Amino acid sequence: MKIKIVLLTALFFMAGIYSFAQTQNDVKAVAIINAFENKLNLDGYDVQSSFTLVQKKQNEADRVLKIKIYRRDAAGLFTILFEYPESEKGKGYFRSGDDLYLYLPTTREFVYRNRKDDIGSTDVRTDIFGRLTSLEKFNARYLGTETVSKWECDVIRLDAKTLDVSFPVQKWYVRKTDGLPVKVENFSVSETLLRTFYYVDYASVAPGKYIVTKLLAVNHLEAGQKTLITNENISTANIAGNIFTRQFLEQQSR
Amino acid sequence: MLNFIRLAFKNAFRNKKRAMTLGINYTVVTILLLLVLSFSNGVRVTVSSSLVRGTAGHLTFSGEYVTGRRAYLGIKKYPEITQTIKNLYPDASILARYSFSSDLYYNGVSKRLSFTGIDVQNDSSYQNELFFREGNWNVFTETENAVIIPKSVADYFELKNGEDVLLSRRTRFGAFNTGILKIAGIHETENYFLKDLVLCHFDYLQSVDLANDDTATTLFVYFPDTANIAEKREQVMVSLGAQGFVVSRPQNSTDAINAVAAASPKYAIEDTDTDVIRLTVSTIDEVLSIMANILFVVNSSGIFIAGILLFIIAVSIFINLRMTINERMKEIGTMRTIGLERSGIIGLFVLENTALAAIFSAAGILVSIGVIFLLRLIVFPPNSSLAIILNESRLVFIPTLLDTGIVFFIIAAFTAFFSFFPARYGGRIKPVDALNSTF
Repeated sequence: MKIKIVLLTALFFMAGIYSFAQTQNDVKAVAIINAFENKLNLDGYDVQSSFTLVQKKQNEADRVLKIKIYRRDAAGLFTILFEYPESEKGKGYFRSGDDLYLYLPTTREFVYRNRKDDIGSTDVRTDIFGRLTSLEKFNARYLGTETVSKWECDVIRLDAKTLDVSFPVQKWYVRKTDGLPVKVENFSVSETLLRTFYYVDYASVAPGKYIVTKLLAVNHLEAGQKTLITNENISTANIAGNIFTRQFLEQQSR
Repeated sequence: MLNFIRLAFKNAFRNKKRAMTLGINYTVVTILLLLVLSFSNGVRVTVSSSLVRGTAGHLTFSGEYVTGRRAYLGIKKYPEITQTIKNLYPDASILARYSFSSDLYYNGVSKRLSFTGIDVQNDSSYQNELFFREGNWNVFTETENAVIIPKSVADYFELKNGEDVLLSRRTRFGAFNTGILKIAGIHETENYFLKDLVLCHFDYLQSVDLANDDTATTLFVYFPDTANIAEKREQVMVSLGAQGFVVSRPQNSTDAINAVAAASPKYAIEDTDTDVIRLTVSTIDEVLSIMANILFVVNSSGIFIAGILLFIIAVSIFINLRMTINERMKEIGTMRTIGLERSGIIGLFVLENTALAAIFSAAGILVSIGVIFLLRLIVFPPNSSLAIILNESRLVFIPTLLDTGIVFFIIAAFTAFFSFFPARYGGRIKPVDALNSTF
């Protein structure tokens, strides 16, 4: 009986410590997140590049999407323009802060979307193109180290503060050598692994600033479904202000 | 008078060939109208019965609630609403459902399905509607994460009873959630509205969607009978309105249908500081109103065809009667000479034609019953496009005495009306002209 009481008490305290840990930021984890976000958030720079998304599905032909992206992280702005295939051409997204609009050229209307909208029904979400602000929405906890491919990585667990994020539990694997993420696992509320993002390669766009050039998104629920993204023609030249407007998307489809 | 009527019936068949030609037209029109009306009745009864047994109540509640500027689809405080209805109508039975659309995954393959959660302790309405290919109802009720799936879904995934499947959905808050469901039954059903039914426990779907315990997506209210449903709704609306709920009727048939199909998508932002619970209460007639539009088209088509046939009949009556009058000039002259008034001549010819219409319409009624019997023998495949209006894989025809009487009366009245004008011509002929006629 005594053993049972001791065990129950221990379990109670462990559960308490666990839930406290989930609602509190871990200092080491916060430092790692701030470090890689500083490298990946291109504040002070305008960035434009061309992304090619190749979606692979089992027993289906590969689907290719080409999009042009314009980013101004400091102002929380981005514009995405679909360039290929013909059926998607003219479509686009415009994001300003938390507001994301999808422009549909066929009906010439803007549809207000969740800022985590899937791009062209792929496994890639619009929020990966914008500024990272993980600590606003998540509590971070340091889980230790693990090896991903050949790199030793710090593993950070993110637990959503509120449930209005797509993946409320995430594990970020951050390379020790350069402090950049190499893998992100996304889980459901009940902690089923849904998607994994592999950050395969980065390019340096400015001193201490990086942009991902190859990314692989793997869907763990649909067998064989993955999306490979390549980012090319990266430029940090100034972008005209009118590109970060809804009118720009309308003009492009004319 | 009786002799007059007897004479009219006798005269109706004096020219047998002409009488048969016209009579067949009357019969065809009668059959057509009766088939259309009884088919329309059958469709209405079949669809409403299937709906009530499956996916709608005599009153169906749907709604949304706003809390913290977020509008969620669903009925908050549903136990309170249930109690209010019970206080007003203790005989009513009330069923709460939790429904949403979601992807089901098995072995890396997915399919989007509509899930319906029922309170297994109090809601056995589906029990007799489902024919179990595998598994059974008892296993379903005993297992919290149990699911009953249609055979079509089991075939799609190549699933067997007892296997686990994964449910993954974006919850009402936006975050993805997943759950493991255990197959407790594979069903088939005759009820069109239940053929894609994926049945789960109410509590389980509620928890996967991260909803509060007092939230449902629909409430179905069933009264012991269907009398005065609209009045009962008014009473319920007044009582709920007094408790602070914002209650309304559906604006149109689409609203009413949406009420039946209410599910739980992600919240929408609403620019208001006031938390509110909005309810829409639809009657079964409103839910069926979209079907009424379809029936209107069916009925209109039938009536249009019948109208064309009646027009042909009208022309035939006119020509036939003119010919008959010309052939029977001497008879008209004799009748007028022995004292029959002009109105008597008109009446006799009108009565002759009406008698012909009555006899062949009666025959049409009998033939249509036979046609209905034969049509009922046709078995349609359960997945045919007609499935929504089939009962036991057969079309349903419900001829009523009222419809039959109306059809019979309309044809008789129509004939009398169109016989009057040529008959009037016969009545106007002077006896001496009639007797001297050389036709």
